Amino acid sequence: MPVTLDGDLIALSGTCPVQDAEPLLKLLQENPSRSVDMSSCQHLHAALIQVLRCAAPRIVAHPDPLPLRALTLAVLPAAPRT
Amino acid sequence: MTELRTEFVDECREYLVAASEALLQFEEDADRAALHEVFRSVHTIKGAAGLFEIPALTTVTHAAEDLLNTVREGEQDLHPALADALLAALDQVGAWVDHFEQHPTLPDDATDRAEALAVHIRSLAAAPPPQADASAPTPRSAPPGWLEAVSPDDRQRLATSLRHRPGRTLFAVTYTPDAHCFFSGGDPMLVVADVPGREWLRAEPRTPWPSLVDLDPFICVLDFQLLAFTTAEALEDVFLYAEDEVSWTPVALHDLVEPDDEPPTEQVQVVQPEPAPPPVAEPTPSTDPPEPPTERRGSHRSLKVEVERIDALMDLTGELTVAKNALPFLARKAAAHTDGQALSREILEQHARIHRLCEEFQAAVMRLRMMAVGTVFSRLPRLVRDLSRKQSKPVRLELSGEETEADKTVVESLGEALVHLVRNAIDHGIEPLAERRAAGKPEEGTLRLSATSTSDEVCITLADDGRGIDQDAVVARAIERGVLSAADAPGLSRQEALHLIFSPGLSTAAAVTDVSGRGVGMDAVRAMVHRNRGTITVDSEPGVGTTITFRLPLSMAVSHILVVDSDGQPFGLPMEAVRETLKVARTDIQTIRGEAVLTLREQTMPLLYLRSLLDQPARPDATHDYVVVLHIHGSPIALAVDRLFEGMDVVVKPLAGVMEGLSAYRGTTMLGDGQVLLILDIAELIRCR
Repeated sequence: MPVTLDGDLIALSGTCPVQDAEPLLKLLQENPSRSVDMSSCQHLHAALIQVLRCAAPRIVAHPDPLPLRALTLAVLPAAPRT
Repeated sequence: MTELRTEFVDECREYLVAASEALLQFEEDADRAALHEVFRSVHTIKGAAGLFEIPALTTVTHAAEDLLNTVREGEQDLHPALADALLAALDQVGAWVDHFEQHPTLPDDATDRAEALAVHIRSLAAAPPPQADASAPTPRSAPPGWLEAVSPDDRQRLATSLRHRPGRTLFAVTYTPDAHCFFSGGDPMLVVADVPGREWLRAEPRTPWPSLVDLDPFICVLDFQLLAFTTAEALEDVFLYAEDEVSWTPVALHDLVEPDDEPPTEQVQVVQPEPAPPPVAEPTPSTDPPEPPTERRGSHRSLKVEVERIDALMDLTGELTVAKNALPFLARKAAAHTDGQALSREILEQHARIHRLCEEFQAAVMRLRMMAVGTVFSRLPRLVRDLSRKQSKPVRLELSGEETEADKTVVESLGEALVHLVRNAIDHGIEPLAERRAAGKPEEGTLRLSATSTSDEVCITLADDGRGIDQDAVVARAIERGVLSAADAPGLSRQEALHLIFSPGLSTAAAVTDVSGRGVGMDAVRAMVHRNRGTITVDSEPGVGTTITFRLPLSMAVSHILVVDSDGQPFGLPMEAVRETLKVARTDIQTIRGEAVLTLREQTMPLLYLRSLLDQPARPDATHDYVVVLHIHGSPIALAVDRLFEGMDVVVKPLAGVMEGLSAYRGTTMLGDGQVLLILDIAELIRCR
């Protein structure tokens, strides 16, 4: 399950296709203060990028794989330094 | 057939048409955009074919795609043999698609055919060695405004890279994905990730973000801006399927930093630097798929209609309901025995309102059925190309007025007739190369096909600059074939003589090809025009060319008729044949060789009595006749009737049952008082005389 909720933390994992934009949007609409962890994400469809840009949740971790990380860092706000 | 299959079949047909059109265009003017279009179409068909168990179709499209790729990469030119092979592949795919529409699989021989085609195509693809591509990237336009948004640090970094690696080009790429691209499986993130040498990236919404509840995540509103050290070729590859959504331009050093090497002191943070964002659908909370594209490329089973035209019908439905609701109110008034005069006036007013709505409704429904004639024109360039190659006669086809619209039935029936006419023009009209040279004509023959429309007619003209029709030969042949009596021949007008080419007796290739240079299928053309209640004229100048013009009613459903009286019985005459009406004294009617004729403005024409055509008793005591002048097959004919009534718009119902075979009647319609009116087909009536 690429979009999962654990407490107030939304985890995006694996390859997130366009359909995942809907559950992600729902979770953020229910509670916009939820944070997002993308560390185990392999690919993010542009539809999810749009949701993340519009909702602007706190991003706790960008994806680990470097090529994707380079992309998400360019188009999404940076994660806070820990 | 499942919906997916239907969609696949319809889509394939569209892409096949698009591919062959673009291929012909590329062959003509080497337009790169057309080549990309061919490539895209073939690629899309291949992709869609993957959804079904039709490997043969995939094999052929795959081979075609490979061949196209060699052309695209500049490894070889699209010479005619290549184009032939590609067109043959498209034809084969078209035939399989037709088969697949009716059957669960492709024909049994499909695999063998596919292999043969693929081997042939591959042999062509492998032929020439690749050439070195030394083309330098050319600047496309000024640097985009969003460069301002690159931070000073990034500018310095990129400027340093540029300075130290002078051989490389930094491209500024502006990528505006289609708002509905997600629905067709597009993912701009994947595209962006594929850009090689990416140095800087930004994604910006086209309009400010809506509130989270209003966001439609499936409408793409992101624009991407990139800076990358790459080549124009590489970018062309990455954006192959999004070329309309992207633009790029090389960035010069001075675009990044001031010429004095100082970093810009002032940074302007531009949030929306796009000069002119393209219009985008407002994000809506609905997740409905987007409206289908409203093009009208014809599939024979379905009709694509612009949404506005349906909306117009919706509005009318509303108005009609309002008008209907007024009737019970009137009925109550009538029941209460109110003033009859006032009631009658109100009913008439209501009638006028409903009448207006009926007319608008009718017009709106007609508009639904309107199709551009371009849909049938589009198959002709291919035909011209093939015939021209086969007969080694260079022929140019010039099309105009493709956007002219007519009723779907009319447009579809045009197709076959145009094929006959174009074929004839090239087979027999356009002279062989040597003959043209000898006559001092340009070597390339020209066919001009144009469409224009008036308020109620569409006029199609096909003109060639060939050798023209030998009028005497046609007349001689007609006499030989028994279509014309030798005695009548000298009296024929030029129009009448040329019109003989449409006679059924002259319509076989063997009968006419050698003499007149015309004939194949001319009878079929005449039949089509006649079926559509149109007229056809032919004009030809020996040595200069032939022009064939046909006029067809824009719409089939409603016809305009003139009502006349013959022996106390009303008949309808199709208005399109009527040129004028007049009252003629019997003394003005002359007799030549036992036939009545009427001379009008120095033109003598045969005069026929409708009563005698219909086997009704004559009116010997009459001093005057009412005469309708009709144009039949390009010649005037005077038709004498007892009385003339008004013209009216009617919906003609074809004859059915035992009367079906009576060609002298075009059909029937119901008059307001319930009487049935027979509509006459005068041309047929005269022919049956």
